[in-house]
Amino acid sequence: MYKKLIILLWWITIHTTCFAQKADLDATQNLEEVVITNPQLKDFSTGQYVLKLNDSLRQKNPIRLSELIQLNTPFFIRENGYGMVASPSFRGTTAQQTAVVWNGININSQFNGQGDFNTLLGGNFNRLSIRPGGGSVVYGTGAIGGSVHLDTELQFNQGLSNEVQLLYGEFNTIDSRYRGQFSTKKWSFRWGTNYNYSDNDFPTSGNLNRNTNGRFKHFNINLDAAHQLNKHNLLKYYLWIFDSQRDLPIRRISENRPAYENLDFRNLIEWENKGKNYSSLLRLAYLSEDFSFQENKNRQRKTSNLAETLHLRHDFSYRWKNFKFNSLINYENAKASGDNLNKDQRIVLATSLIAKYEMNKQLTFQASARKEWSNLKDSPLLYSAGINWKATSFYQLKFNASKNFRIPTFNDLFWLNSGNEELRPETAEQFELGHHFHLGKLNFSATAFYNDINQLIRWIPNPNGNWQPENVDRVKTYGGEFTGNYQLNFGDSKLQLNANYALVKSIHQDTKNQLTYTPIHKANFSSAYAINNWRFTHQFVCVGEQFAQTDNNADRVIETYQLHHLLAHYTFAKKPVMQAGIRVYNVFNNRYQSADFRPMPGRMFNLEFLIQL
Amino acid sequence: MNTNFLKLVFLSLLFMACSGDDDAILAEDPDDPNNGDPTTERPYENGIFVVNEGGSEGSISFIPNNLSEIEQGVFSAVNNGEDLGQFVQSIFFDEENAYIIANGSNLITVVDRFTFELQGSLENGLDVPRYGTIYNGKAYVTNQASFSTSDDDYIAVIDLESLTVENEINAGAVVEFIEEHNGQLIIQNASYGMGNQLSVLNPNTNSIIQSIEVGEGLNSMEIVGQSLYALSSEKLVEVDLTNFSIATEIEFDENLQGSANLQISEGILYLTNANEVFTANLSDLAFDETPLLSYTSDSEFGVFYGFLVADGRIFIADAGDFASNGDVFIFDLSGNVEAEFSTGIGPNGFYLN
Repeated sequence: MYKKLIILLWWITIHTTCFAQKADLDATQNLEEVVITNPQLKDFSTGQYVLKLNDSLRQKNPIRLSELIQLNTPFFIRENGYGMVASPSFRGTTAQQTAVVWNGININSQFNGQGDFNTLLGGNFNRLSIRPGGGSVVYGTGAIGGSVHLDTELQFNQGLSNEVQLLYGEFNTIDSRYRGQFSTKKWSFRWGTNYNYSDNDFPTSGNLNRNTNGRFKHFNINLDAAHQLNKHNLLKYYLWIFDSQRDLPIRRISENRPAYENLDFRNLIEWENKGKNYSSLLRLAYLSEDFSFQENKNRQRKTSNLAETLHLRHDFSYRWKNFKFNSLINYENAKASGDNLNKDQRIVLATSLIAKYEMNKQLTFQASARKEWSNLKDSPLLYSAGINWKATSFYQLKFNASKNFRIPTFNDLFWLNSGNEELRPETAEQFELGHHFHLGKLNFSATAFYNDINQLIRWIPNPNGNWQPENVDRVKTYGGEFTGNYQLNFGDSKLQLNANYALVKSIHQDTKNQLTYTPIHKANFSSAYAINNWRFTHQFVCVGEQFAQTDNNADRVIETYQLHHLLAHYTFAKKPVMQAGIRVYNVFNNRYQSADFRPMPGRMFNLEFLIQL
Repeated sequence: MNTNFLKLVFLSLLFMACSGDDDAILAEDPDDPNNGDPTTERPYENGIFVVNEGGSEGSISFIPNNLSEIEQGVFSAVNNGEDLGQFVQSIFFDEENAYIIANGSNLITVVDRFTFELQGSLENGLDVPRYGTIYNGKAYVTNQASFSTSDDDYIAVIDLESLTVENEINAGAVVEFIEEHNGQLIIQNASYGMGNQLSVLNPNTNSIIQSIEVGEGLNSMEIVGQSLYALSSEKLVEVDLTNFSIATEIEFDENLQGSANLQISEGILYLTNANEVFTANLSDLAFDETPLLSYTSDSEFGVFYGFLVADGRIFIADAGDFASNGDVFIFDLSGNVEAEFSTGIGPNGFYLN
């Protein structure tokens, strides 16, 4: 009944005359290294590679980015229970060492330095790109393991279109997505909303026979607009509001039931001025994050904290002969307040310079540097240098070396009675070497990487038992990533294959042990077969053993797990596109856990409906 | 088309073949439940229990009196892999049973103290329980409740027959250790370096009848005869329990400031400072300037995370980084090492059986 009501509501909201949009049924599900619209990512990634996860791939996956990335890239996502806080671990790095960049602005949490990939919903951004490896020169703090880019591309002259997708699954799981766009020659608008809810009380085999106190509710609103003032000037505005309530699972009925809420508010205004040889991009962003935590829902007591960040950023790029230059100035003023934080602020002024030289069609060189000044500790000089060598039509060699950093978070700096304002940034010197092959419809890449991460911040207890952060650790991570995809056409049917594997050693330099919760092996494979109006997809992921203790005690591990998901979709109308599907999560009902004592769901069924108008 | 589809199915099957066992759960220590002494029916009668707080799951280790070995995960081994809950804090005993407190799970697990077989558990009415003691057939357990205030700290009065909380007594201050003396219950109102007082709970009226300030940073207390010795970061205070007043007060020199872990055994008083143990005779409370012993630790807080002097031995637990197995060191009273073991995560205390 409830489900019907939801469908009805969605029908009401789109009950307008709409232009039909041609369905993108052919959209490849493969990850591609592609030309992307984010100009900086496109122009200044020499020596590195960028994976793009396209819209059709996102349609076929749960809206939370955690699963999307876990299933479709070599990169590992640590998930503290299904739907709970999830953080990436690219190339064996810690949760804070991946930058999340929204339309050019770093949106990692000021509190804990992480992007929570279970609260980054698909939303309105229609370009999702991942660039493993260093990126601090352009994207600032946290871009050590890699950076994840959420970009909204606003198009003109497209008329009106709407899209509704509704997924309903076991345990009262609702994943509903709506987005629309309208554009004329001078104006462009995109809007969207998402609602993602689950009782999340799947059966488990622990002390409680169900996942208890695991409910989550996420609500997302996006609104973006662009106005072409004239041939040279473009104004854009992006708004992203995210509201989330999560209960955090317990293991025993007697335990206190915690709850966590957060409200993120992101605003960005952008002025682009373009000439023949130059472009200037001025951005002003205001971000606020508000979270409250209740250690026991039965008590009223909550603690709340607020971080407000203002960014003023100017990018200027200039093209001269075979050279491309980019200068960047970023002013950031971030304020902390709340029940757990000293009222304080951090001001950072950063400047970067990038130069790129395309010697010929085969060889491209790039070099860049960044310097930051802060009212707290200054950051060291950062740099990056890369080479692309297109040796043949089917083979390209990429090399990049860089120094990157991660600044201390508000929790590290300002936590009441614990914060340490003397903390220095974590720094990482790293390089990577990649081989990229394009043989017709087969793409393959193999990349080796090495990171030497210094001054790692860890919270350790002082003699009174008060935990405080210190720059204490040094970690070296190294390994390889392999990606491959292949497409086969036979008549009116099509088979697409996509495989990824990563081998990651992440070694603490005092103990020579692997970091906890960092699998050495991770692999995934997906195959999609499309025929007539049907499409069948099989997704497989295998996450290797993870140590739960720093001494790598063999008795205390998160065991290797393998998951298979099956999807079937049927398109029953093409104008407008109407599609229905079923998704079976964990087909073999494998028992597994993503972290110590965080059991994950067994087999789950989801039904899906998609309408594009 | 059909053949292609079959190829796809075949490919999928190939990948399924890599699928492992369906029981991918956290590895448990496959300890032999008959460890210790299999010939006796009371394998844990003569030895020392070590409480390991644990990261996500606490455990109890057992060392027999001859110090020949350490048995890890005693409770799980005896009781079919059951667990004790999160953050095992302490144990208290009566004649037959051991009561194991897990503060992260609001749980007291009751086991036979000689066989460690599960007898029952208490899952209601606790809120971050810390320490307990038994008086007159009832258990009194301190509860810290919310971490952000001490206003809601209380003592749970537990009926041991039904294993239910029959009363909650608000303490008005943070609560930690609790000990019975002469029909009264003495509570340490200090924890984690905060708090400075002791108070007395009358179990007949279930009310706090008096309290006394004994020094900032109060961290431990010991009762000997009619005296209570309270150790705080800057001094040692002797409280006369007949009238609950301060009898002696020893201010520390610089070298003893910040001392912790007060223990008294056979007329000698022991305390720890950084990685050293200092002693004094109870008769004159004059501390030796040279430490009785020291050991190497790289953990500021994990050093002496557990400390007990009893039965002619000094038991030391080091918690290391709290994310890997800690260590136990056993010394004789002259400061010579008798044994050394690796134990579980965060070993915090020893209990002789």
